[in-house]
Amino acid sequence: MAVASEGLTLPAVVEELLSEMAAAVQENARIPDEHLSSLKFIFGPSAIQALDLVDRQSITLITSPSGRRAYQVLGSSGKMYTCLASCHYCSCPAFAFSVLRKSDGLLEPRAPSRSKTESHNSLFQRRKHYPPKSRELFLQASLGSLS
Amino acid sequence: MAETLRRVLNLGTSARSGDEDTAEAGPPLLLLGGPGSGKTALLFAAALEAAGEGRGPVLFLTRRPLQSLPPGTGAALDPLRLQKIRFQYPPSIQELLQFLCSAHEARGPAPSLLLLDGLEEYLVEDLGPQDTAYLAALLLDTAAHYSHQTGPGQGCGLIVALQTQEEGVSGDGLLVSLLQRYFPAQCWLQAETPDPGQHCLRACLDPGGLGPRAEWCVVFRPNGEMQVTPWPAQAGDPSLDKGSSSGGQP
Repeated sequence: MAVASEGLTLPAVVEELLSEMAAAVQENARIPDEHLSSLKFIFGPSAIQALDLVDRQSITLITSPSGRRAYQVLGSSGKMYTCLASCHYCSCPAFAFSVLRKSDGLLEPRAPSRSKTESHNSLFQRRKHYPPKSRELFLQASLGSLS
Repeated sequence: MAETLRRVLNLGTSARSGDEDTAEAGPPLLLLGGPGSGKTALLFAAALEAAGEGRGPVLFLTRRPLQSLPPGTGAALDPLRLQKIRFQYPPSIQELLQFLCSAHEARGPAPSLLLLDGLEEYLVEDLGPQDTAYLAALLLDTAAHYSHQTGPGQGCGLIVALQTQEEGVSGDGLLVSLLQRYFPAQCWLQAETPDPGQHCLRACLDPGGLGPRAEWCVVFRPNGEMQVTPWPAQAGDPSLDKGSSSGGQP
């Protein structure tokens, strides 16, 4: 309700969509097509590339006995990247290039589309203003679809 | 995390209200100021304040051990509070990263506040933006893990102090804008001289969208004692002060 009073923002929409997806996955162990279409609508081509990483089982959630979590993402080049679960960070070059350097405020031409290895990170670029929970929910929902 | 700092800055005044005592960890806060602007004194005061809340210990990370306890913290300097402040002195960024990466293996109660003094001391070793972002993100992730351990409603706060160069140095701007991505709340300490012969700093606290900005005048006396008063423009306006003190509460 608080969301409605402040006006619907994109992060709020994403948050709700991801919650719905997580619920759907828990119920049916699969993500309904309309949710995937919504993802594509919001994130553009990045959504497909991110889901491709999921389909390849390239994303691993690592949990310590004390409950700390991190995601490992295997790029198609075979390199392993680490994504922190609680805030926006990925160790891949695309994160440094598209997300961090972009925030420098330098007027740079937009990077041409890169290999699939790096493409999942453009997701973070598009979502950099979103609450950290969004990404985790997205990854959880995506991971859930594997089972 | 602006609330802890706000409480520290309000200690010298009577602006403290009851509802400020709720220990809710706000967004991570970046404390910025030039050399000798009192960042360490403020961090230490925040540590003492959090140590007196009856929650978990306070973790104080710094490369260089404190040379002396800041004077003037007065009654707050009781041994029980001091005992709850745990100092760690990672000598290099590798050691600091190692410490943060293995924080979940530590035994004992989770800290209620994580402090890092002198972030710039870890950033001098030819770090690129990605390594800087990694350190910032890892600090957030460690605090988030502590929050997860302490349970809902009692999160672990995070305050990081960064020494900035003299104004106008552009290199700082890029670093600060990168860090602001991870630290929505900021507190700036700037030298001001309202009275000749007195060294006064202006502390401007921006709680990161959770309320209005607030400003204080921080004066260090010749004996090193820190004295904080509301910034003159606000001093006569209790409604503004009240609004800002409750701004962080839901």
